[in-house]
Amino acid sequence: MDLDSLKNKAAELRRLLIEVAHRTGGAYLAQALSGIDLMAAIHYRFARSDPARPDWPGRDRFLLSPGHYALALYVILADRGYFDRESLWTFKENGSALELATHRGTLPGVEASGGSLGQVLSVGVGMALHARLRQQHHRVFVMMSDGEQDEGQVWEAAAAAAHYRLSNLVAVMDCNGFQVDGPTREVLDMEPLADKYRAFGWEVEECDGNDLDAVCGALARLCRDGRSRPGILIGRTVRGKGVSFLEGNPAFHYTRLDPALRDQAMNDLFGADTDAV
Amino acid sequence: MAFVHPMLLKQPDAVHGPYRLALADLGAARADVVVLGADLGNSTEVDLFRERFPERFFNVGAAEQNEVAIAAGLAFEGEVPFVHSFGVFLTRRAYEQVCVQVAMHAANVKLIGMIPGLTSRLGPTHQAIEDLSLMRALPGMTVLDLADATEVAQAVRAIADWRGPVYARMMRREVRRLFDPARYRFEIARAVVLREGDDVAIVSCGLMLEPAIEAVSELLARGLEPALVHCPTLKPLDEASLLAVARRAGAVVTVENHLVTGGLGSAVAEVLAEHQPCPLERVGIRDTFAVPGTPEYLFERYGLTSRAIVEAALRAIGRKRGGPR
Repeated sequence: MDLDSLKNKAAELRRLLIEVAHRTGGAYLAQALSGIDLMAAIHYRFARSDPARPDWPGRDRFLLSPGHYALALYVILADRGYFDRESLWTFKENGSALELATHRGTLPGVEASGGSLGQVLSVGVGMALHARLRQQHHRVFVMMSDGEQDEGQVWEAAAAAAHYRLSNLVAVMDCNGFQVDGPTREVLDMEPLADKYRAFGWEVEECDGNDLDAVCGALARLCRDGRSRPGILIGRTVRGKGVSFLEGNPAFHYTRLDPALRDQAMNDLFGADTDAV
Repeated sequence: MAFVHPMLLKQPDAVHGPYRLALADLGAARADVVVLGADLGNSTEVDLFRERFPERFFNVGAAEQNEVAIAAGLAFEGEVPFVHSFGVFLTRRAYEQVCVQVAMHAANVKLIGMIPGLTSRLGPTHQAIEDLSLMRALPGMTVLDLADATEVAQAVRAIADWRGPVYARMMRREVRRLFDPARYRFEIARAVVLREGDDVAIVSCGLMLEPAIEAVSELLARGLEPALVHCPTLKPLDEASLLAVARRAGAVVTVENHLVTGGLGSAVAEVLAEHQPCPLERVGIRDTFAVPGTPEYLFERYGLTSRAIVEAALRAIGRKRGGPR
């Protein structure tokens, strides 16, 4: 997908996020809005995949580590045709496969269980080791958050990925500066994250994670052939990107949108003309 | 009157490193088996596999949480990972990873925990005394406590062929051999009734088989008729075999190198209480952490002896007959 189309797609996905959050009584919306550009760039521009064959062995893997970003993944998968778009309206209903956090095996395209933070980079290391052992040429993308960098297991996995020179592993971090209890710098300051990953032996890119030109440039460098190390893109994002009352507001860890807030969110993003999807 | 059984060697001996050899043989037989180690290569007997199949061996360093989750990723892709550490570290330290990444997806990961129960000299940090309990609590987990060198040698292939996650605790290095390899066949989910009897049924797992055999001999010498059930699979439990033996004996003693809570004693208590209530005595460690020491010293100190089994059997028989506890 070309860059202009990708930007339009990201806007369309944001509209969908807000509509689902509104209609289904709430979601981790601020997180989904901060991470949607990074996830869209991977899914529409970099990852090789086929919605008609979700188990195709040659597909690039996409693993979502912070399961709370589930809705962002669901809108992408629904848009790409992995499952019926109408099922988005069942998000987190009892019995729905669209659970509040992602669990492997519940839906085509959902390849990791990430509700418990900090575990999925390790799973990605296992998948990347498999690909190398069996001479498969697909990539493993792992999406992480900055908050989960607190978990020690992330760094065990980071060390192993570099030790095994897993150049087929590409991580992306949605670095929005917030975790449950507040700004990451106040809760537990893990900066400088780029230096840490460099010191662990990774190839590091860092950019505005809501700027799709920058994101796609960085991902292109991390996905080029001939690399010998795992790569990570640290995307500096804005929590709740595009919605004035969500941006940088720690009050909205979990967001319920009444009709007025929904209209305001749509208005922030698209101006007064806000047709429902 | 010594207890004899055709499956048991008349003269028990010892085998050096039965797991080491069995894992290497498995590597030759099955190209889909990969092995993970956590800085304990020789200590967990993965070194021969590593020598023969270096491309299928991954050392992740002393990082068991990462080790288990990496194994899940390999299993999701169709590999059959054998994951190694001491039992304590796989179960205590990596419990959430075992739960979330392995058990929750019935991932085909095989967890091999060495140094079971009170067989470590390093004290309570290394003594896996609640590992069976932790693993038994996880939905869909298969839990094994292996008894001797013959069983270890046979179990490795059975574990690889078994579909789904397995936790197996076992001995390494000089391992006692009780079963005749030509006559014994290990199967997951099967208990082996070595003797039937009318007075009391002794049910053991893991290393407690040998003292249980001694206890049976002692009870026979006293003119009693004990049953003996070897139960290496704690989950799924061979309920039919256990209930048949318990029905005839009318009293049961469980014996384990583990806390009496959550392991074999609890598993048997649950099935008896639901289907065949009868007096039950549990031999094992009683709600305490153990001190450091040699296995011989610790087994004596914490009551993992044939004498303790005989006493428990006599108590159970007394309760069956309505006598005082």
